[in-house]
Amino acid sequence: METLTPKRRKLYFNLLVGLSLFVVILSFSPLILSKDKIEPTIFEMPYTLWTSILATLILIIFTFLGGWLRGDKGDFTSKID
Amino acid sequence: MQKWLLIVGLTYLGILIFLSWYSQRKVQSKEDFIMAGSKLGLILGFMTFSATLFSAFTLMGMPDFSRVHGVGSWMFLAFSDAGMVFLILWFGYTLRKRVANVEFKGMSHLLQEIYGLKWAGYIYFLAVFIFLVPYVAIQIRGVAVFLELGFEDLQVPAWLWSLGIVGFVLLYSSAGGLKAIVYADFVQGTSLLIVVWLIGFACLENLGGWSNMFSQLEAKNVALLSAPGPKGLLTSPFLIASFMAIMMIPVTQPQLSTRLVIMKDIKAMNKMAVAVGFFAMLVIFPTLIIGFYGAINYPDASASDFIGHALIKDQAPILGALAVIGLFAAAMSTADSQLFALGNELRGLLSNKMGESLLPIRLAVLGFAASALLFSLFSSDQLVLLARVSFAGTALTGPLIILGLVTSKPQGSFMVWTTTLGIIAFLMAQATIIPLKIGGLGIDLCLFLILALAAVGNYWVRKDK
Repeated sequence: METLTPKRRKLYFNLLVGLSLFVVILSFSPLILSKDKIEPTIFEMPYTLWTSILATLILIIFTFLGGWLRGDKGDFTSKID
Repeated sequence: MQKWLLIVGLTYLGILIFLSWYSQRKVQSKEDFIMAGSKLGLILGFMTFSATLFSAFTLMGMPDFSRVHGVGSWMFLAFSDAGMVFLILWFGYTLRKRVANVEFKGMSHLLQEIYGLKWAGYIYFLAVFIFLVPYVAIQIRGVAVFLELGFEDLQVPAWLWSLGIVGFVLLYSSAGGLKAIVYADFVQGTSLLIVVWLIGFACLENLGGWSNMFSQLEAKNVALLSAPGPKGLLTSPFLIASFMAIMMIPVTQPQLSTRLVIMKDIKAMNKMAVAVGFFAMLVIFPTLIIGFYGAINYPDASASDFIGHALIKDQAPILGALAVIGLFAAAMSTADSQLFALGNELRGLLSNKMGESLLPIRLAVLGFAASALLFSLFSSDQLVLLARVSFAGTALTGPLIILGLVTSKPQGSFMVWTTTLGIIAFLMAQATIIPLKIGGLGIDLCLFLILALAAVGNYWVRKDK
């Protein structure tokens, strides 16, 4: 991953932080926490349940990407696998 | 079932005794006893972190919480845990960098060093003592009361069950130190995951499958299928406050911050964070199914009655026996880590000469265990809500810790005293001396925001000094 310079990795990490904040804000908004909103369902799961599971999964994937961008020593300059 | 309980129970206790003996043999230094050698790899690291994080609160509290409040329970815990693991990337790195060249003697000691003020360590220690001992106690009590009800014919009172749990925790943690706890956590975390899925599947089968579960839930109470739930608890302010409190757990609770420090390296720690996130999803999902089973079959039962049925009485004997052992495991895995971490925190506050010996830490763990046991005799059975108070209380030390870690410049005493006042205000609110809500927001969220703003202000004022 030679194209990813430490500066660029830090930038992408900060973008991930921004995106995570966006997901968190969205998750606590009426868009997801909407009283009596059950439809649309996915795999029979009501709207609030599947959207919150999806939001959780996104944050965990961001954690994986964030860890990867920070590199083996967490300082953005060390090796990434 | 008692035959199965005997078989599973003795096997489980045998494994713990073996691990305690094995780790005692491996302990060659004070560092090994207190910090488990500080070389935890991914698998052991994520299992010990997860087992410490998920407790009886998960196996008993969460099913009951989702039975009463419905699908929003996922947002309350699983989503908050995902926020927490993301924060670990930054916080774990910052903490490890700070203690890279010094011996980590606990957060209390670190705060004293950073702020150059003894009280900084004392207030942190007081906060974790005040909020963690009751947390340990409610779990012990939760499991003990459940066991008393589940085995009425044995005529063993709840306090004796509590004594058994605490006694066993003390036995293996004082023998093998943190290493024994880490190994035990591996077994306990695995047991928890297996048990919760087996019971989840059994409940699902009993309800006639996935689709039937949701249609029955809708017929029973449609409010369970969205937030804020039938009782209107899971509102945005409540969930945001819970999110902040849970996200702060690795920052403010010593048993988890210690686990970040003892990971082998940053790479292992980051992978551990991702693994904990997935583990959280895997453990919490079946607790929702068990809760939905309760909402359909036992909507008006008491918490302990519902748990007794869902985990034991409605299950096959071997599954019931596994559930009992799973509960034991869940309660012990959190209690052992918290008591040991409190002991280590106290060691950090002692003078250098006293802190060098392992005797104070052993005595402190014994003292904290006795306090938890005593408290467990009087605490209530509202596991999740009491746990949330514990998380919110310790979270108030978060801004103080983060401010101390992000800067190498002296930060004065302002945040130390502001945090002290914040904790006093929080305790007064719990005692209903001051209101629990201010302008529609919970006191916990208000205080946290005030302390976070105070920390930012403190940082900017001192930035150029």
